[in-house]
Amino acid sequence: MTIRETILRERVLDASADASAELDVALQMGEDAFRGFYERTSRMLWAYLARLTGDRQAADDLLQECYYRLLRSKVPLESESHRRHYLFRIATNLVHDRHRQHKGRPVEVGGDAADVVANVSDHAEGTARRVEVTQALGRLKPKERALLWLAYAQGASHEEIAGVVGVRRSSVKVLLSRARRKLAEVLS
Amino acid sequence: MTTRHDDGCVHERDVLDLVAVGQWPGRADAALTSHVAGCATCREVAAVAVVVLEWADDPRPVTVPDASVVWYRAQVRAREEAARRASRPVLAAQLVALATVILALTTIGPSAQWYLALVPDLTLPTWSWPDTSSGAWLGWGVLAVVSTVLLVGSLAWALADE
Repeated sequence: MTIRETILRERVLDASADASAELDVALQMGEDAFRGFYERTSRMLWAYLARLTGDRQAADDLLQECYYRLLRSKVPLESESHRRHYLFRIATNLVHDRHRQHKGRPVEVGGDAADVVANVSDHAEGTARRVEVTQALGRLKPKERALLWLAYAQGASHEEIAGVVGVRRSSVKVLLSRARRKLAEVLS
Repeated sequence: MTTRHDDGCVHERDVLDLVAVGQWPGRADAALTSHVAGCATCREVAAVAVVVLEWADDPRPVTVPDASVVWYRAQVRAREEAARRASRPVLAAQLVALATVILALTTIGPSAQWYLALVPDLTLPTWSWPDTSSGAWLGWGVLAVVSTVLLVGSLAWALADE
């Protein structure tokens, strides 16, 4: 733990000891439950955010925001799977908001691709392919990337995808098919 | 002949299962390979799924913050937000007080003569109704509207959940 985090921890402990204990800071789950849930989901969530935004730094920031919103949520989340879907739904909404805010700016997926080149330059062929794939996916909308990621990288069912993306279950098949066709066209 | 199933193909799942374990097309049986050769939907599914898995397979390490860091940050932020929410009624009360003073001025102000007459030694020039042509009524009206908006707005804001 860094000095800054230690200070942060101290602040929290101090805060919990003082009269502000009456404040409404109820979180969705306790610390131990959160730790377990975080260990099981954070890497997958980070990868999802990084691919959808095309920006590793943004993924770091959004990751924190996702868990904060989940913890502060008043929605009753009974099961682990329900909680995970809700977390990914938050992530999807945050990425959409970010996309709306950044509309008109250059697509950042290219920046990620450049990062890939810098980091794995010793695997030239694989790198070129990765850049090509990243750029192709960068031409899709975040929602389309989300659909493809959930369906093919995470192997989520249509029902799960519907919950995460916020569409009707019956629409998933059509939307997924369109996103797939669009990517196939871009790649060809 | 190549066919496309707009509503999906029943063999999509078989193709995806093989792609997911990196066994496509190597471990596909002859029947499936033959089907995919003639099915545009399955071919597209296989091609796109392979690409998405390549996209997902980033060799760089994924470094996420420690769970305790995320937890403590959430705690701090939740407390800050709770404290901000708790201080809302105080600010709302201040706004209500301000609005009340303005309202009082606009209502009592024009008829302050009787009130001032209760103080014997204090003589002030006789108040007269403002000349409507001078625009003074407009001033009183604006004050009344502003104070009403302040009153209603501050109450609504203080009572709002988030």
